[in-house]
Amino acid sequence: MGNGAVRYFEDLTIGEENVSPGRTVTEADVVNLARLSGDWDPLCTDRVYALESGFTRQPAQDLIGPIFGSGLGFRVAAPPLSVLAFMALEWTFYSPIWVGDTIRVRTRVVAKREMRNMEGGIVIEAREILNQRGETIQEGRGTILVERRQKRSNAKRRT
Amino acid sequence: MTDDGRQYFEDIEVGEEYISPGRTVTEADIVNFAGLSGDYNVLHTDAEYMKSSIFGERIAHGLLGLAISSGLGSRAMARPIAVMAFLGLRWKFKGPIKIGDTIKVTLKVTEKREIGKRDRGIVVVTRQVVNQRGEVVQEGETDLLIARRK
Repeated sequence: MGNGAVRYFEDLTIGEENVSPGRTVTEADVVNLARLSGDWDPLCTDRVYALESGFTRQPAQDLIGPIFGSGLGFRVAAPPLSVLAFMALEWTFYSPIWVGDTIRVRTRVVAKREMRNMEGGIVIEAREILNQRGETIQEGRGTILVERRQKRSNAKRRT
Repeated sequence: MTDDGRQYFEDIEVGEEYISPGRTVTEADIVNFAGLSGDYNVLHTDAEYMKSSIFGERIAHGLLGLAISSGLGSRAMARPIAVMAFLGLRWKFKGPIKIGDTIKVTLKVTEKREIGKRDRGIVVVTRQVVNQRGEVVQEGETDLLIARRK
């Protein structure tokens, strides 16, 4: 495929779990996300407003969790999934990510669904964002279309 | 209380709708998002590989669309909402955003919920990300914790 070492739909096992390396969320990350998204939420970009709103520290954008989680997910000790498309994301934010926190993502394959006449199968992955104390500060589920190694199988297969 | 120009929980009504300006998603946006997120998946970063994919070219990260839609959403309202926290997200990536596509966001307040704490409430905003052909490329609901007027 010329796509480097990847894992296909068939390679995934339900229950398989991976924990990423950590990434420290910096003030630069917050500013860069504000610049890129155009969302200058004052809680994350106006320290005076944040303090007046009752925060004692500077929170990062909540979206840093799923965004950094997606990049960290490629850095686990396993070849990346051959993703054809990202289909859905359900997410719950429990507590703020503070500038200076170090986050990891823990991913677990919770379901696989064969799709007939498609080049891939659906994988549902649970993702948890953990902070440096091991607390789950965000979590959710991503629905991903993952490429099949064997392209077009008409036979019914169950994995 | 003094009017600080923000919309508080009391000011928001179910059924309110907003539409944002457009934003053209560029190659630079995708490169910058890959750098920021660390997601260098070939879908977004390998033009040659993507020629033979179903998309025929690189596509924007789904989460880039979501991030841009949060910025567009903030530009859709003349008076910003006094958001205290983002609580939840239920989001579908329905179609690709390609380099050069121009997206807008429509927002609709679909629910308001009182909670135990009296200084805040939950507002559910349904959002659609629409491209220049009117196709909905992403959509979903966001649950926001909104401050009440003090």
